[in-house]
Amino acid sequence: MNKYLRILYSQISSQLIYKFDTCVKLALKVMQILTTVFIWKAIYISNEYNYIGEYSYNNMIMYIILANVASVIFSFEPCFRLGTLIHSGKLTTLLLRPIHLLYESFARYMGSKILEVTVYLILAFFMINAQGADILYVFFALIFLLLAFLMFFMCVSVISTIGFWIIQMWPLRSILTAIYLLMGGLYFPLDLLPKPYYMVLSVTPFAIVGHVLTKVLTCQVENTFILYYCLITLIWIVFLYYIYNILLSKGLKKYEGMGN
Amino acid sequence: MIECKNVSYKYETFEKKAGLKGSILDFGKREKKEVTALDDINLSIVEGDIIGILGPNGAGKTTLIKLLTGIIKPQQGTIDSLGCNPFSKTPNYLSQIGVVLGQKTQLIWDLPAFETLKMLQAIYNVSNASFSVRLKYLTEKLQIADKLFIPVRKLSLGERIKFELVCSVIHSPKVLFLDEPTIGVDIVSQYAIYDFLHELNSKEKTTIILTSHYMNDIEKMANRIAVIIKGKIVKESTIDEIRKEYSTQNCYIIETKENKIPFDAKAYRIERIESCKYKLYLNEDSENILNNVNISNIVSIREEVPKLEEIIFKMFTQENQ
Repeated sequence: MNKYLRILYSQISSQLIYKFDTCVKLALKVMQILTTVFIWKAIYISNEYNYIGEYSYNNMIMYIILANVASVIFSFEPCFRLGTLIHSGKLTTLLLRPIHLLYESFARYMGSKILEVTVYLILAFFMINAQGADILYVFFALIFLLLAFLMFFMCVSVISTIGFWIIQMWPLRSILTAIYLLMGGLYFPLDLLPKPYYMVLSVTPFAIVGHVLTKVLTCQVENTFILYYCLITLIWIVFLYYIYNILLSKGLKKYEGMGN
Repeated sequence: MIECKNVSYKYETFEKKAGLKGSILDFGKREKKEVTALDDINLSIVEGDIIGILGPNGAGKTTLIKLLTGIIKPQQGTIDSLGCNPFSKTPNYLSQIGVVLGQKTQLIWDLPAFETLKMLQAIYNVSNASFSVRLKYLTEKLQIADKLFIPVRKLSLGERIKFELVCSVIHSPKVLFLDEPTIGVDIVSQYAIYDFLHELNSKEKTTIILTSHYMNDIEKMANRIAVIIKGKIVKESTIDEIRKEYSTQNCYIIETKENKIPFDAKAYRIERIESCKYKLYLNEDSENILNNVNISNIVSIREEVPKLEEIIFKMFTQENQ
């Protein structure tokens, strides 16, 4: 455990070096959120709607802000990191250390996202509290948030193993982002879709970390809803962990340590 | 300690014809090709050995290091290293080896080397007391103690290589693998590295397995060499034995003050190498006593011992032919 905490610490230290990078990322995200907010404002005003689906204008704005802030911590960076390490052959230096590749990657991911995760947790806590949720709801919501975070990490870790078979991972970036934006419900709440589509989409990993999580944090659901999704998320974690180990084992057999 | 038996390794590559047509054809169907990197390698390394692995580019040296460290798995044969199968990458095995890959850094680029070393301390579970003592010894020995808190990206290449070495031995490994450890390093740093590795080998009985294109590295450090050419070990011996084998028998170099032979040369074959320098071939069947020697004209007489570089060049050329 100590070794992974140290990796996390080193990653935080590295992260603090790139002050400009952090500021630009933050500014970009704020602009992205504002754009989506203005689009929805325009839709509500131009059509003189009070409600779209179950969403009032204020509900919608809160949903959009939370869903998009979540996308800062649910990032695809670990996907491309492994691909880069494989392509450059630098994975070799990691394989030579008595560490588990998955845990190392998680420690680095946490280290690189510690600021965002902290801000998101504080925001989530205040959001739930402000809506007068009881302590049990807060507890379930935080458990779900933790599970969603782990599941998303497992999901990107599975995707990252594709790097063993393809030379460049970057073409995947735009595809993954598009899938996340649509299936995660970052542009619009997924429950505006017809029910059959919603039922299927809502149990997918991207919807869980986007739409479902945002619904939970805006206190639009019951405790049983959270528990149901906790179970779904747990099943995803186990399944993805199993797939990851298979792919990693196959990938390592293919890995030749070539590259500069 | 390390035993390779009938180890073979092949990898897949592809060929692409030149030009646009070649690129289009390659896009449709790639012409795959299997290349034998190592073929039936048998090698034994005992504790405390310093073995140099030599070979031309693409001979299979780095592949052998990758196999021994467990990065890749042999397709044929077995490797037993410290009682483990390297490819299983057990924490026990990985904790007993140290690796320097000259072209792949393990230092965290933006942070001082001290941060990487603290991380390695945690990874290898080195106690605080041992870490402090060892770090002090290593950095002082390699003359980089004052560079510990400077970001890695601000260090010179030589300093970075020295820190790579410190990283690879901070946990006192039993076996140290060095792949091109002095690549791009100046002569002063090279000698500091040689000295450091010798001390490590003699004090801690660390087994060192080294590959390098610099013959000087091998000559200064290794007590045994294995020459790999086209994936096969063509020679495995001590440097002295190889020198003996390849030395020109009964041949002496004589340097003189004046430009004339300083003895009665009728009975010998003499070759003038340059002004005031001669090569004398002794007769195998005679007593080989020089007559009428003019001592005052002699600067030196020494047996001709070929340089390791020349021997290896000869080997590479012969094998390629």
